[in-house]
Amino acid sequence: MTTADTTVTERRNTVPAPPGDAGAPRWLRHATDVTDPVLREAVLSLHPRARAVAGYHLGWWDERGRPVAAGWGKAVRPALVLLSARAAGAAPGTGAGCAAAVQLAHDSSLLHDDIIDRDETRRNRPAAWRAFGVAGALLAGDAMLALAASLIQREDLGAPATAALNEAVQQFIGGQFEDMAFEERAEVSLAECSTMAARKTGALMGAACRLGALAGRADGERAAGLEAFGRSLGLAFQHVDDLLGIWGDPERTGKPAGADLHARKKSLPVVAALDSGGPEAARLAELYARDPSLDDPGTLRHAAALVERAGGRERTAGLAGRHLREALDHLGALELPPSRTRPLRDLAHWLTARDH
Amino acid sequence: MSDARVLNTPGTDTSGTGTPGTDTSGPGAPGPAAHTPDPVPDLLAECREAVLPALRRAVDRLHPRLALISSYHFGWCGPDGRPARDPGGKMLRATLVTLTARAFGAGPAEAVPGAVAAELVHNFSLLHDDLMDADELRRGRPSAWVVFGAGPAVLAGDALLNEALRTTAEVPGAAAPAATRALAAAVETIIRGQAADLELDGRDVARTGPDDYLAACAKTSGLLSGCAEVAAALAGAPAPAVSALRSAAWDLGIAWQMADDLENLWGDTTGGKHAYGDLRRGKRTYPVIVALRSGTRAGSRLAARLGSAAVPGEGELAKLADLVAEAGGRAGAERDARHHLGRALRALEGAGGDPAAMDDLTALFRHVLGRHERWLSAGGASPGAAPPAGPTEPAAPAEKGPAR
Repeated sequence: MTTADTTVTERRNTVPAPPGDAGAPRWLRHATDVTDPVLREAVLSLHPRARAVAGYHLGWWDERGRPVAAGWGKAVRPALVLLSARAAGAAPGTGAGCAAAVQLAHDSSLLHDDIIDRDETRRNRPAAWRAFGVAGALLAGDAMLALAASLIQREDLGAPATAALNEAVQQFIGGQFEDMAFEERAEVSLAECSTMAARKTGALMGAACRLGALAGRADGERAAGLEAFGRSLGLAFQHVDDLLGIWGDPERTGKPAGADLHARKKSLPVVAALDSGGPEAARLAELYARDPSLDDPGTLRHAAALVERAGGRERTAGLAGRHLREALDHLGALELPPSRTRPLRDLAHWLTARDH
Repeated sequence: MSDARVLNTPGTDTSGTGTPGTDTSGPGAPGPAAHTPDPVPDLLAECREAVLPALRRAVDRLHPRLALISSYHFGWCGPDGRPARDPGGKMLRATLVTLTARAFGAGPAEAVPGAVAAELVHNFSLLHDDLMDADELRRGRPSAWVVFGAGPAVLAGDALLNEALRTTAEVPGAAAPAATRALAAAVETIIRGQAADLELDGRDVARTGPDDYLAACAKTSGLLSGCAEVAAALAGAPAPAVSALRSAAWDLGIAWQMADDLENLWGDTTGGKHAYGDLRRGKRTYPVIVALRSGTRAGSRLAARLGSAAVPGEGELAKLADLVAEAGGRAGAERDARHHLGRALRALEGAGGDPAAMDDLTALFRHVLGRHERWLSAGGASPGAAPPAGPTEPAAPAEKGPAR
């Protein structure tokens, strides 16, 4: 088995998952079960046209409105909300409204992102803008963002909750812009790459945890600690995502092999490799400058190998591990009973050990 | 009384809304006209002075590139960021907020954040609307998406929307939740209106009615009504007042839409050449819908011509406008626009509030319709027009008109 074929689960990040982390998938399913009805009710309040697009994107129906069960992702962010509320000592199910709000904000960004990047596929189906047109997808994204804000208002958690979501949205919009801008640039620094990841992914995950804490009536310090956990976890999550984007098994990820390379993304592994200054870096830069339509699977395997030989894979995996440890440290510093933080801990491990 | 005031107010120089030089006086207003100077230009200037700095600060909180795109869109600078000589924008909605707030006891400190939020929401919707409608020009300049690209324009709009919600949420004191809820609800209404608007022109001619137009009107009325509600929340106005103010602003929006539609078909244009922009694009404006539903022969002929895929030539456009009028579209739209303005002004009268400030607010309402007043001030109906039999709900296809 060649190096390029090994999946990320075989070439581990440096923190092994504790035994019995089958808990995480269970918590994710639970989060889906709790959040889905809230999402549906919210989406039903939209104008039929926006509703059609939103429901399609969320995997409830096809472009003609016929019911399907395509799903709306792993429910990571809702899980963070609910489990943070739980960690704060709240009754099960507390924070469902916030969970739905965060998921809507996230999905709104995906709808717009796909338009901006002209990505034709999302969650193994045609992206919403392909099915309904750019105007429809743009409008639905707007509607979902507004809906997210309304849902938070309805939770009656006051200004801190509204601020948490607003700030995170501000961050991820900025992150999306940076991500878009990176494509035009020949060189992106590691620092810029990390900052972008923090904004694009870390901010909303941090906000999810903070909102869960607020829903669970946690005090300021606990809320801050949970938010810090979420932010660090978000970074780890993004780095794992970046690894999967190059080395993920297509059958598990649902994306073609080396998809990020083909898209010429300046993801962290690539940036780290280009930054390394060795001969591989130069060859990778050359390859990246070539027209993507000339890529074949061999090109992409070669590119992946270059990234790896230049140390991009190891550095990224190392950073993912480091951020995971930071996340767990933040959690530990809260001095909560282990049973209350166990689900978050399990989730954190699972997210960074995953293969899709 | 208020209708009489509409009829008798001398033509105001609506340097805000009208084209310079357009005569805006009502046709031969009966009775002695009171020559009170129009307070609105001063009110607009006062509001602008109070709100613009805060609005610019809000935009500065965005990512720098998004702030640039937004500033360009607002008319404050060129594509390169160099300050514009004449930074545009009348900030009508901001003024609606500050005047309403003042009428119910709020000072600038309380009102300004609401005014800022209103302008942010308005401009978020313009940025995205221009993309959705593929409009290449905005306020006489290339649209932001043309200059900076569609992707950046999407994100700038998103950022403005988010910043608007943040602004009301950060209002000190107990008013923040109510103001934020009102704003979020207004945004949802606007979006619903935009969805209806996108659908409107795709509809089968035979199945498009006033209700469809009304639904699209929410695009405009939603924000005006939201402005009133946000202001009322910031000022702590009592519930009946809030209700009256919202209703007044909603009706104003509809009257505005309808009047704008009328203008597009029969308004004077500089140089005498008529643009017929709406007809050209096959838009289902209110006069057109009234005509199509009239059951007249002219209406049927209009339906046949609009139903054909052929783009109308220049001569054809004038004939289409004539058909609309012949089928009662002009008279009907004038009648209904008057009806909604009347409702708006009556609701304002019943809202309470400080009399002087409410007078100013009323003046602002009329100013919004400024150059359109002639459509609304004719006391008699056009020949052949039937008394209003249509739905009392405001119905107006939200168009580009009020989006200035």
